[in-house]
Amino acid sequence: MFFHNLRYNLLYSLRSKVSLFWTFVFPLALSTFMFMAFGKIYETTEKFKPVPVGIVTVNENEIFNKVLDEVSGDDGLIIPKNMTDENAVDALGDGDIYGIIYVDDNISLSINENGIEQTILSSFLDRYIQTESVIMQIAEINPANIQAAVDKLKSGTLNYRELTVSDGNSDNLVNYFYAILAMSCLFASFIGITSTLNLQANLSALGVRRSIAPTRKTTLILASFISNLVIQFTVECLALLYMIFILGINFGDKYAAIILLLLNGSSLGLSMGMFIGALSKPAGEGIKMGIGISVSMIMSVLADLCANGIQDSIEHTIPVINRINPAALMTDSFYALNSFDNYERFTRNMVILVIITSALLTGAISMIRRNRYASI
Amino acid sequence: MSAIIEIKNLVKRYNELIALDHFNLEVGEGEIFGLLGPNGSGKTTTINCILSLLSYDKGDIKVFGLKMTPSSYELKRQIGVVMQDVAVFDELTVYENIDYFCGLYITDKELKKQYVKEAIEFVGLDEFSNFRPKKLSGGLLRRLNIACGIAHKPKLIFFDEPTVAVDPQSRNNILKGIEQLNRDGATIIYTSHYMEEVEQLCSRILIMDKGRSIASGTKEELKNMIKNTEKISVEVPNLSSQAINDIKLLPHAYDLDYSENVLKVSFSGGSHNLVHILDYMKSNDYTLGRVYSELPTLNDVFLEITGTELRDNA
Repeated sequence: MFFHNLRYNLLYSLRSKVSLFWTFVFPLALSTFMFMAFGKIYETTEKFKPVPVGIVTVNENEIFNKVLDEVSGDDGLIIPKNMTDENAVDALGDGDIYGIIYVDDNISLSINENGIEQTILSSFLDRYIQTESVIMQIAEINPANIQAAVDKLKSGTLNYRELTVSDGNSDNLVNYFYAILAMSCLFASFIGITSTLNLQANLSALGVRRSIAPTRKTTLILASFISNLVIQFTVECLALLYMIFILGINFGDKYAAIILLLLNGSSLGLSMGMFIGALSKPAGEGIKMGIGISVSMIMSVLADLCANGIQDSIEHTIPVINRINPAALMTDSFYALNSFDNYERFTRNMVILVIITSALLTGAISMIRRNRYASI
Repeated sequence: MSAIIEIKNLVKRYNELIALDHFNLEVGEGEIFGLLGPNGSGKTTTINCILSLLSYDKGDIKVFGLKMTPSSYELKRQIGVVMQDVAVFDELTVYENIDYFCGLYITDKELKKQYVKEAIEFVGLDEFSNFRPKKLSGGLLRRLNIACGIAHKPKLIFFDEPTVAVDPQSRNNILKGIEQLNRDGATIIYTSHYMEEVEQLCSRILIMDKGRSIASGTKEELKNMIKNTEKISVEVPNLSSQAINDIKLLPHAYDLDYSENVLKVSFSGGSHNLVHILDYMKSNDYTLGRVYSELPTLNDVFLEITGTELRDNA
């Protein structure tokens, strides 16, 4: 009986073109628009690029040259360009370089405006000058350790590049796509609502026919849940593949965990919809859909899926909301995957999501099964 | 004849409105039992209470001698329902819809396959088994609705206004189908506000109004309950007052109306009432137009008991 229902639920869900269209289109379209809108902005404003700088050598400085070699290049901090003073001034005026470093007995920096690139150059030089004095001291006290000191300098002190503590991708851009996946999971609640409407005699003619059949409501609900989950989860996976292979978004390498999270998120969205759909009051598809949209949006807003800063404020004031808000749990899980090498926080979130999903599904079943309605 | 459905003192309220007022019903095995009443009289509410879809305030309902509850799965297995609203999946074909709903009752795959095939043949949808419901006409859609309700060969079938908004040909097919199901052994509960259908189909009839049973019995028993036995209408121009008074005095005549050149006389008993009227007209040289003699209908029964027309309420 379960598989009979599962088979037909899958069949009519797959043939429900309008609902299927929107389920598929939402994450794909939104991620495409997001990529088109923010991808370029990110490329031009947020993504770090090496800063071109003119180098005017008045007196050779071997240690500084070694440091420049270490921090230069496409993946480095700066792109040094050896120039004459005159050329460097012209290049600075033309905007080809952001500053001029004069290598002399005292190393100095010349800039003609303030900005992020100029700050990076200034910070780099300050840091070098502090470190140079340490190396000079080592040279005086223990000259044999100079190379070791420079190596130390190379390996850590002057490494300005971002360090992560996991194998994930902590780019800000990827967070937008995590938000889309999380919202798409939450919006599975609409499918959940519709599926329960078709099970209740007071809400649909199909509900009447299925209520008078000798089939347990638990069987009908679970078959409906599983079939919708198969579809929703497939959609999420396809959206993930689209983001990775078409849009070129780097989600790190914890794909198994991401897929588990999508499965859990889809289950949560569906069970939330089924719970709302099963509520005896208010009745009516329109009102229930309205509640579904409102709840999803409130959860999304509280979890920073629509605007930044709210989730952090809640974490500092009423953290329990972040522990029970499914949207916050999903975004936090994505964050945990990209920020930590261990799965402790991710696992905790997954367990909470499973508990909430089970509670909502149990609630929906208990409200619908063996129900006699006051009016039809 | 054993009772398949027994309802005693059923009371159902919707807030202040009493939908069923100490309603009683007994349906025997093998009957085609008609529930007749205007819209809002409580017919569908009665069915929903029997099927345990609706809660009720008071009373007892037994089906096949057992109390019906939402988890009475063995009882439900023996019941089929064809509701007024078509309840099928638009995304499934005719065959798939019937197979799905039949599969909720029958788990044996071979048996189910056979039943689905028989149901499709029964409602005459053989040529349309791969069609989606949206491609079917209103009449064919009603037939699909019926097939979904009866494919599992239930012993007790409820038909709740199955012919609403159906063309005459499809209506005829549906009524013939119901008679066939009854001949095959099913007990039928048929609700309608179309008195002609109920008269044609049902072996026993219960007339409902405002949640109460106002009369029940065979159609002959119901008609015998009222005074009217024949109503005669005659088109006759310029009928004099003297003639009207004379006709009023004819044997068994108890009511007369003359307007727009049409004389209508109601009789209570008598077997030659039309002859008496025609004789009178002939002997007084009246020129006659069309003449009708109507036997009482269930509408007359309803009219006489409630004071309102069944059709007016429908």
